[in-house]
Amino acid sequence: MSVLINGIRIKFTKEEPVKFMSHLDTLKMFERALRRASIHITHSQGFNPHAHMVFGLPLQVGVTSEAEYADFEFGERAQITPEEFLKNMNRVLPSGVRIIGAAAMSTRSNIMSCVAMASVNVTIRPDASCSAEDFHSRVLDFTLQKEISVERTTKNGTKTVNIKPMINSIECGDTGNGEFLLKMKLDAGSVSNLKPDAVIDGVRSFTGRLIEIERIHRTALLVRKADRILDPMSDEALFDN
Amino acid sequence: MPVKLDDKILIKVEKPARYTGGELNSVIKKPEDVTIRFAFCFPDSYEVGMSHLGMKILYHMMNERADTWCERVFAPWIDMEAAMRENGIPLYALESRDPVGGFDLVGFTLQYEMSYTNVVNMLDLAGVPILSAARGHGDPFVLGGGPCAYNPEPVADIFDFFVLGEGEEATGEVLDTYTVWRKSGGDRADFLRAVSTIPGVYVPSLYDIEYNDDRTIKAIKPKYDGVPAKITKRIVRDLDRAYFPDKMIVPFTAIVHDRIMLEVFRGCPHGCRFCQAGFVYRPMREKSPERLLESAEKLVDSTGYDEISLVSLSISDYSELGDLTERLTEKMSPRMVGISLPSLRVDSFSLELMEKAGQVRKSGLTFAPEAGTQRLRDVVNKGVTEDNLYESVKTAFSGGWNSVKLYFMIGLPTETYEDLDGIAELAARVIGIYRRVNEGRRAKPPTVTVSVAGFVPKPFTPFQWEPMDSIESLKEKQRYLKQKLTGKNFKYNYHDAELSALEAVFARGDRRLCAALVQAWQKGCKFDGWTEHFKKDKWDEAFAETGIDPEFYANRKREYGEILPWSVIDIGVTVKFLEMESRKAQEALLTPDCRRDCSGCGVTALKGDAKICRF
Repeated sequence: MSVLINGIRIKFTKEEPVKFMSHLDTLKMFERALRRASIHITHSQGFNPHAHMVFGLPLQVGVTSEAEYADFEFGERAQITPEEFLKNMNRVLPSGVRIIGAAAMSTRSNIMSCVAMASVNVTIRPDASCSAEDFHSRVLDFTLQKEISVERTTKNGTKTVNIKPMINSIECGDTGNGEFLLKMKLDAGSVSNLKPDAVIDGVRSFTGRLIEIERIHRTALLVRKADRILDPMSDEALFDN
Repeated sequence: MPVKLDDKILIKVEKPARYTGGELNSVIKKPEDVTIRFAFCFPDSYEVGMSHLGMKILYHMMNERADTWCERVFAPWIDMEAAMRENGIPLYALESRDPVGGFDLVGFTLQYEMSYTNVVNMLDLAGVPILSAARGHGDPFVLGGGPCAYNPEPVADIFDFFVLGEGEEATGEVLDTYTVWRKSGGDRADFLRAVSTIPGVYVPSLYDIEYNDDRTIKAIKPKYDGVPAKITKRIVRDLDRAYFPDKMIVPFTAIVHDRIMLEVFRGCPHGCRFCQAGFVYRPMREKSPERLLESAEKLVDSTGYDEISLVSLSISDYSELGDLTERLTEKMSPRMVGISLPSLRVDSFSLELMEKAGQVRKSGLTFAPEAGTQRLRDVVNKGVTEDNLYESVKTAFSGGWNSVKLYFMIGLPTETYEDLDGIAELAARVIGIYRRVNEGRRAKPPTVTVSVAGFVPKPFTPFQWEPMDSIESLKEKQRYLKQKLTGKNFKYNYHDAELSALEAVFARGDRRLCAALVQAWQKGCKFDGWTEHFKKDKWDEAFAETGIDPEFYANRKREYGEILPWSVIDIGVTVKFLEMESRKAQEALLTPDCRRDCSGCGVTALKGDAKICRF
């Protein structure tokens, strides 16, 4: 990652209609949208040239998001302003994908390499045998444990892991229609990564209740740069000094 | 009312994006704005169906009409179907998610005999009575088209009517007739009578079939005056002026042919005697490079695809291929769009073309000698000599390729074990050529894949009277070849002989097979074309229980004079010509391709104009 990337970083949404589109298919979808919008970004050399674009943390299939990020590389000079990029791309993107922010960037750390945390809202199907207050206090007990052990399946079988250090915060909320809401900020990215499902597994075994996930929605993604946690669209994240 | 698709279901099934719709360029209308709801059904998975060009054409064409909303329906995969049945979700159309049972017209494209159980299954999942005779007021009309509709008899009891040949013109006429009928307040029988007067439309329930004691057909008789005794297939005369969409749906999940399909011509100038497409799609008609370039540009604009595939039965036969590829490449390479040339005959000209088109991946090339000896290649009228083939292979190897696939058929009429030996010898010589080409160089070891399919005689070919080889004999031949192709440079694969045998039953079946089809479906048969789902034992039971002898259809030699189940249909090519070709095959005599010499197949009679053939 030592090469300076000159390009545009975008923030986009992935809503209900496209939530079953896989990460790989999302990449392909953007590549086609670029061609429809007649926007030329740099391509790799070789038999199968591919567009130079880098996406943030892959979103699980079935999960919606209001905070997806991608970097597009333009080489020496960008022939298009971030504003034009946003406008032209939104005209050709399928419904359910919308660019909500675009900014010029010039940094050695692309979005994928510096993801640090992700915030998600997990909606839990209400359980008649459990009031909201009750649920909230059980979750509080869960988070106050010294260690939070969950079983994680890896390539080499299952092992018990303490996920507490990877949970940055958990708050309880309410969606207004009786569903329980858990707002979590979890470690994400290549260094330390915790999926919301693993936390729910933990809550499930801690409370002994059959907790069913109704939906998961990503609300934010944060990056780390020189040990500072940043918004990916902040100047500090977009430019090396 | 649209069906409700719970996330709980979708998250558990494989590739849920196949079931949610909403893809780019899919057409959404308001139900209240249209009078005709058309469900275009493809009786196979989303990935297969979405790769079908005919559906793309007719989908966008019908949706250009203000009065019609055409939507797509595919066979849900096993896991999704189970979830749908468990949760009481009927078959729905992808665009509106409305149940298919409430549509006006439900059209199936029949691409492959082995998808018939899926047709039955989809109708059942839609809550539409499976048999035409059981449908009543308020039920949709079920229509069929596509290559298998040229012998529609094995599914005659299931479909209300068939549209034969190319659908660009006939489809609109069917929709217009439907509109008139609905305003008239007539009953179902009235509509079927009305639609039977459209050229190219076949309504099977309007015909009586009489049988001889030996189970062959005695007569096919229209039940009423005014019902045509012969139905002639429809063709589009001028492809440049025919409708071709400038949009194609771009799926959210990978499909089999995930690229722009640009149709270059219809028909094929060769008359390979085993090939149904070569006869039913006659005459050969080309599009102009200008029209193709215009289409290509619009399609790239609307889809953003990175590849254009030039679609035809044999692209090397396009008269302006060099010009087209050059101009397309010039326009498309700045946009990072590649051109692919499937079905290309390999010679030095085409290799140069492929290089130019940026097709420099030297992974694999496919050759189709079809048979192992020149004698048998002449029998099937494959106008390729051994020298042609070796020359092509040499060219390919010199150009850096190191792996080739050779495609053959076994069980062809007049075949002997000498012909099988020929397959093995040919494969060995190909390796020899590779060694010679790369002599003194450190080259990668070559791979020669020999792929062998069991020959299935098809209607409207010169081999339509021929018996198919028995399953035992095919298996014996497969084993024989296997022990001949043991070298480490060979890969050998072959089709399931039992599946081919079932295909053969339905390819030339009559309407007495419908009962067996429904019975097999009731026993759980579906996705028969997918080897892992093919249930041979269930099919055997179904045939036994319905009193059908599959060998009567697959393995019986027919007399030239026999009334064949599909003789009510006219593809333009005359029976006399097919018979002549059949006799020539016995003598291993060649018939030249259409451009060299017109052999008088009869297709020029369509529209009564000899100039319909370009050559």
